[in-house]
Amino acid sequence: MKVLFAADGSTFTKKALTFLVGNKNLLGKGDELVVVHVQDAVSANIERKLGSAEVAAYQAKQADAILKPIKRFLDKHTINYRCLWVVGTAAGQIIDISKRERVQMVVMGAHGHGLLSRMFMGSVAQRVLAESDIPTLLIK
Amino acid sequence: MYRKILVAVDGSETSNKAVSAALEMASYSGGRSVIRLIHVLDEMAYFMGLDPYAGQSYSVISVMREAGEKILADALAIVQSAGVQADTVLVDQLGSHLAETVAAEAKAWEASLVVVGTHGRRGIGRMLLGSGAEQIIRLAPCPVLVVRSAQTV
Repeated sequence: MKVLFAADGSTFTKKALTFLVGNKNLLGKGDELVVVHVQDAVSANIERKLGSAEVAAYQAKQADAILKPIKRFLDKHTINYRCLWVVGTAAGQIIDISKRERVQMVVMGAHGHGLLSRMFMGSVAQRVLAESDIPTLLIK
Repeated sequence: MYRKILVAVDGSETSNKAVSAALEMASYSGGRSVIRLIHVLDEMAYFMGLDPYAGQSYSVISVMREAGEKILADALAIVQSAGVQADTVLVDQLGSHLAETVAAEAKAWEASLVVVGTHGRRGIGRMLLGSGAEQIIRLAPCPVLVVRSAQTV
């Protein structure tokens, strides 16, 4: 199976990874895991003030901080994976990439960060569910 | 690995997809998963004439129960023919809310995964999931696998 895992560095990341490596038949030989991390775009105003090089460097650093532990974890398991990060709207990018990569399942957290948000479904998950036809596993 | 997989079924095309997805998830456990199929009688659907079983001469509830049992039996046949251990639960307490009932069953049975089907929506309803599915996601104590049908509502 080809699986897209949307990583945001929240507590779900660990749970999701445990699930993904725990199923030998899910991601075995010939299967592929695409780890996607989306960095929010910075408003044009701020980008002008800081300079786009500065903004890009910041985003790269943030993305790296989230993807590095994931890579370290996945390297310990025999999983064929690829990490990528993009800038944009999380839901939109997850939908676009899952279509482009023709994945068969999307794995993501059911809600975002923070205590209050646990009572609700995350807006990212909500949009992905509303706009994509690919089966989506929501980790809680 | 998901050992105990709870699938909400209503006999629709989307719910059949959810059953297939549950079977696929079960296959990853190397035959150690059990599937429980749950159907919650939804009186509103009947009173609004959305069900093909309605309109018989029985009382509404017994018709609903029969239809529910048939839905569960059909789904059970599919699951068992795939060689997966399964059982069924029919919830016929009128007034019970679908999402709450499914979440309660997931808690009581200690399900490790809930699988639910929902319709894709377009236009005004695009941002809204089937309200049942969304509430199940919110209330479930465990991960939820959401399966969409390509059809629009």
